[in-house]
Amino acid sequence: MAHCPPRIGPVALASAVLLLPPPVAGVPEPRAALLDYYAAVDSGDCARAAALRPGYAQSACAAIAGTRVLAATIIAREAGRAVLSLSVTVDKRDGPTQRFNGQVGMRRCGDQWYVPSWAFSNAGGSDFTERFLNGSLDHSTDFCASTVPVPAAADVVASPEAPPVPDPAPAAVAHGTVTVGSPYLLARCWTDADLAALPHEAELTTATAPLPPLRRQPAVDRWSGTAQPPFMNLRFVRPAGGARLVALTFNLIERPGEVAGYDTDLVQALRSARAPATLFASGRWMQSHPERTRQLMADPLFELGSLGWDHRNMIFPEPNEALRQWRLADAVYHQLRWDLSHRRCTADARGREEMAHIPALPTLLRFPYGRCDRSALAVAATAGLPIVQWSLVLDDIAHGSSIESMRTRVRDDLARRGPGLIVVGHADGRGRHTAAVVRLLLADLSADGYQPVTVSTLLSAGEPVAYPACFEHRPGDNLDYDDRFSD
Amino acid sequence: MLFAAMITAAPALASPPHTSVGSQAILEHCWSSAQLRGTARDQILLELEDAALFNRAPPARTRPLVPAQPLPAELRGSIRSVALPPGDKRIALTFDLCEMASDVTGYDAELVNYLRRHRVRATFYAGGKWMRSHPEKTKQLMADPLFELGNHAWTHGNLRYLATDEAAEQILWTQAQYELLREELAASACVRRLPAAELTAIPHRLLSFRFPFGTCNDSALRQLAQAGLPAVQWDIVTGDPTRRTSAKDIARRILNNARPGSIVIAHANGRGWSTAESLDLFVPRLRQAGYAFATVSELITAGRPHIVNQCFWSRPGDNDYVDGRYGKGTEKPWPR
Repeated sequence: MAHCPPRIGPVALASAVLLLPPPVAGVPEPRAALLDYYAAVDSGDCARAAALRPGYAQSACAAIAGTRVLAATIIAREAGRAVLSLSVTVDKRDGPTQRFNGQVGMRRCGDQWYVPSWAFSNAGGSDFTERFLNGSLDHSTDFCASTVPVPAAADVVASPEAPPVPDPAPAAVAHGTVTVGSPYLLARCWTDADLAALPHEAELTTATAPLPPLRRQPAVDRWSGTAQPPFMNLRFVRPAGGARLVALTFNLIERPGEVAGYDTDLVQALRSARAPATLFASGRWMQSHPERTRQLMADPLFELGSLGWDHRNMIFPEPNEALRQWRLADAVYHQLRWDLSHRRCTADARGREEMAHIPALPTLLRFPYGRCDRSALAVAATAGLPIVQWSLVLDDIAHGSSIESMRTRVRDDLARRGPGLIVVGHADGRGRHTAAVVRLLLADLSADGYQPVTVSTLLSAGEPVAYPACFEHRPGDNLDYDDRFSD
Repeated sequence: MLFAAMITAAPALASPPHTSVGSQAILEHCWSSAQLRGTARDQILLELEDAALFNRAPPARTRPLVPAQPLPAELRGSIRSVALPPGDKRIALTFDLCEMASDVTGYDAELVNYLRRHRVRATFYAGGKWMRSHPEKTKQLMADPLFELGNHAWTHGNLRYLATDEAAEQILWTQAQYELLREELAASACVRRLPAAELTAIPHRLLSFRFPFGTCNDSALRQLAQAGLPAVQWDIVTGDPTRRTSAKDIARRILNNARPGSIVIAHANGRGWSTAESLDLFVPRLRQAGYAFATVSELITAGRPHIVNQCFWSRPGDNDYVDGRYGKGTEKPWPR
């Protein structure tokens, strides 16, 4: 294969897979089931509500106009039983709003948690908790025999307080998709108007003033350790079973002297096609696009990786400059996420819970200009994250590229080199026609049976192929960047 | 004396000058008109019943970095209105954006939209935690040349009741939170594409202070004087946080009591139940009567503040019960 270097053999980076968050597992969660139950009552899905709460009459559910869970916290939990403190308001169709403040017991049968109809205690206290857990309150010896399978949720009519939550799931791949972010928060924290483009936003312009980093210290420092070699730079993945996967990645770069853009057109093209993608951002770009960064963090379609602070070539920095670059990017990301977690839209119990789906720090790294050396690799490796190069260049920043030339080349390359490639383009206003090409490419990929996935999903789908070096197509082919960008 | 002042005064100003702060260009570059309009959802109040949800985290910065000059003697104390030169018939509408530790309040989009549509200048007293929960709204209000932002304490603390260090947190955390959001705006691509003068027009700090519950004591007044923040109360109470106060009631109270230099207190955090609706009942009529609208700083600059040494709603002693009922004031009292 043309992209294989002649002498250095590809090294399977098995450990990279272990470093990733595990795929979303089917561990049942009593609190989620309780919220599920109230959501079913609230939306009038009484069949589902009755299934989640054995012994509860659907007619009682039908008499309720709406519910609002104000708080639900697990206070005790065992393998098959849990007790939660609960505060909920219930609007009766023909009566006043009632409030329940107390405790509720839950039972687990198989992989499903249920709310026994009788297990609500107004008085609460440790007495109820203890007696529920030890079974002395049970109404029957075999609760699970009385349960029925829980039907899927019916379509929910949105209320103004709970905005419609779009279906987050891109078509699932057989091996499981690594998803970060929260469709709930994306819908709750921003309107369509907030996600839409602003005039001039995609433009890359010259900065009139320097932009120092606002946050200098990461709250969590993952750069203080040392890593054991080999230090590897991921180029592509060999998906198990030859699954036709491809990872689209876009850089969000801001260099000193620049005000970088945000290619809303491209992002909206990915959103409307439900095409997952990975975005690698300079810390400086995140700082100049705080609200866009938070939207990307929350969007389950996207994964965010770090490019360091201001896209300096990591080959020539003075001692500790590489560390400073990675740390500054972590610091701004962490601050932006912290801000999001202290907003109105994340203040309630659900909002707080959903924030857990947004990674605390970027989950991937990429070297600016795709350039590194052994010492730069060793520094980057200390965070224990996959370091991601690319194996197919969209060439959206090359002057000679046209929509058709880019489209044809990517399609030909995929046909020749097979699945598992990592494509790189730009979403910071640097790219020419990037959105237009991507729209066509997404249609081509779909026609050819390819599925776009994030880098983490790709990594979880097969055998990573990584090299202890940085290059475009073959070792040594990008050294000219060191002359052009050595400051 | 008064008579002499009247005959030597400058002729009435057809269009009183104002010291405009903010940047229309930033407002238009950083948000679309749909974003500025907001939605009905913005107004919903969120009561946090579970103490575990209370957000007690301090802001990311707890001391303001922007230096402040202590207040001159003539601005110390509780400002209730401003005596303006004859012919200057401006009044200040002020809207509090209160938020306690135990709630997350809203943003009255309809009210702000009316003010923008009819070019009504106003001052918003924002809680520090409110600014943190509503960062985009805060940045919009700070950038808008029509409006001025003031400090309404971090979590609506009762400054008469709090210990000195707790009172200092209420004041200074809020000043610091404003700085953080102004810095975020300043670093944003939409601002950095514009000439630097646009950003410079946005004040570096909150310019005045409004006591939560309208309560103060000498120590709190001294702390504010030290922090360079005039304490701004009011002479017209709309009563808009009471549900049974109708739009007509609000308009009547304002129209019956308006004098040049008046300061009106109302709410824009969703707790002013009929406030937005009331605007059209009094704004046009005040304008017909020759009144214009100014921010609090504009009034203070233009005239001589009427200052008292105690804090009350309408007459001394009328908010004494607050200490017993609300205590520190940072959480809604039980039963909620």
